[in-house]
Amino acid sequence: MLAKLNIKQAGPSVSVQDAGRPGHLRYGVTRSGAMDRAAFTIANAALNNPTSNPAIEISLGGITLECTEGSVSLAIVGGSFTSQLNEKTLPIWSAFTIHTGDTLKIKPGVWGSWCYLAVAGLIESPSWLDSYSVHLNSGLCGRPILQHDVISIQNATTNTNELISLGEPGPWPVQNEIRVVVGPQERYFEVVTLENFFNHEYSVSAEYDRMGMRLSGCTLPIAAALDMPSEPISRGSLQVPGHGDPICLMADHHTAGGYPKIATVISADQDTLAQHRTGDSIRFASVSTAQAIRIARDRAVQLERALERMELCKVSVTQRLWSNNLISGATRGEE
Amino acid sequence: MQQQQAYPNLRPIADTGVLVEFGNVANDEVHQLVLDFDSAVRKANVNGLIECVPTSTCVLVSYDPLQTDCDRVCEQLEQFLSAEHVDTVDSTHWDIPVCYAESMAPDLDQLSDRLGLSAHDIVEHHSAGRYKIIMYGFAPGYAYMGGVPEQIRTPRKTAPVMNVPPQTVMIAGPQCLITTLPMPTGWWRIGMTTFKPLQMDKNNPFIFNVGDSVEFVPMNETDFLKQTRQH
Repeated sequence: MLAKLNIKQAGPSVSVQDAGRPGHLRYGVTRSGAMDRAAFTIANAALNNPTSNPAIEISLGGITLECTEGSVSLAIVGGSFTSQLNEKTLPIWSAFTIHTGDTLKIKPGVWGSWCYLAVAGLIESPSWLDSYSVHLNSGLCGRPILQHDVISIQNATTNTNELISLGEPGPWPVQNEIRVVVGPQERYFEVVTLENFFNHEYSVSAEYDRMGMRLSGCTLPIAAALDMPSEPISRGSLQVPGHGDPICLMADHHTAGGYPKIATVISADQDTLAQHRTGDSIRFASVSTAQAIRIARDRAVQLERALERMELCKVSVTQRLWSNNLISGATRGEE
Repeated sequence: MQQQQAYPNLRPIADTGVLVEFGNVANDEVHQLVLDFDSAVRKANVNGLIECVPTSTCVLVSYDPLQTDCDRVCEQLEQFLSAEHVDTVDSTHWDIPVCYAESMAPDLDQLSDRLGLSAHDIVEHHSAGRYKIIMYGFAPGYAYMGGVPEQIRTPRKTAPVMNVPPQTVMIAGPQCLITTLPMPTGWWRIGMTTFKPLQMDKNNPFIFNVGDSVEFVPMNETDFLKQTRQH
């Protein structure tokens, strides 16, 4: 079945994303993919989709769409965004079915920068190197979603006919502490600069997009001559250019650069960092590589468990209202 | 602070990568070590390996922390560092046609003033050079070539020019580049080529491999326009 979603409004940087295109950094192609990979995975799991099924990544600009043909099940997972289906407020994380004539409006809520609208079907969108992820900077695979676009969904199914609450937004609410492993170019900084980096709070500046997040706080002067040749860049790298503000490189980062990286955000905390907004404050904490690997593995187990729990709590909201005699499910998740 | 560093050197990058450094100055010898190592690691079956990214002085080896860990990856990488070098890197030679006509080379005049060389001399030098693909970076398909002859090496311009079209041949310092996408750049535009280093319709759209050698062959404007029209 075909379903069509007519975009009434879309903020900047709303785009189709999946798990990205790994393996091409050597050719100058960044991986891209969801900014919050756990949220993206949960959104697809909620609809029993393949793990990397393309979804719509929604920025703080929000989105309003109308279903103009067919019906399709959708899931919303990510930061705490507020969603309304025809004026009815949905639980923060939810799965439901949209029918022809329905309007869905998603706006940023109390925290979070990104949320994912997963679809039970395949979004018609260009694919490159086995990925549907739009690369905003090169324009090589699609472009951001704009007002008046009509998104076609092939093989649209309606596997959830009732409104389902997927539980609280978590286990990844925005934490203040972001764990990093020092390096690989800490040698370009004085010891006192490294101490300052860990002892001061940083706040997310307005310069934040899918490429990177500039942080402001205690500036980090580069102490040695900038003689390093251009080196490969990893997601999570905290690069320090001449201005001394660390920039965390995110999903659409450049593949190589010549600025020293004081530290690297561990993979387990990259989603959390991505959900921070301009003005939010963070503190860096140092862990070893071995600890970072243990944390990554623990988090993978946690995510597995969260998916199992979600499977169990795929209870329809109407059922829950009946049994708990709640007045409204709409406040759940903001408690 | 900086200390004397012995090479090769392995630096862990959080829980997902190891940066293998072969030197801190880009030169042919260091780059050859990069190429040999990159080729050996890619041919071996390293458990949990996601990709290798070679640059002028180092190789980033990224891995999946759920499948392996840093110590195991480093142990495997050490083998390739200590082993006697026997591997030969498969590389290809490319002869790339370039049209250096005035209309295709908006910066040739200015460069000529700056270098005190005629446009003709610059073209002679550029097309006499032997280039090597050092690394990719900046944007998809942007392959940085080393080997610009000393006589025409110039630091990049202070102000970038916006929307430089694909297939522009540009130089800055010791490096040469063929653009693949409209991008801003401060490099000196000295010609256009009919050759496309990024071919989106191909399964592997990246025509150059790191380590390939390149020479530029002058092409007249009539032939250039004829060939451009055919494509």
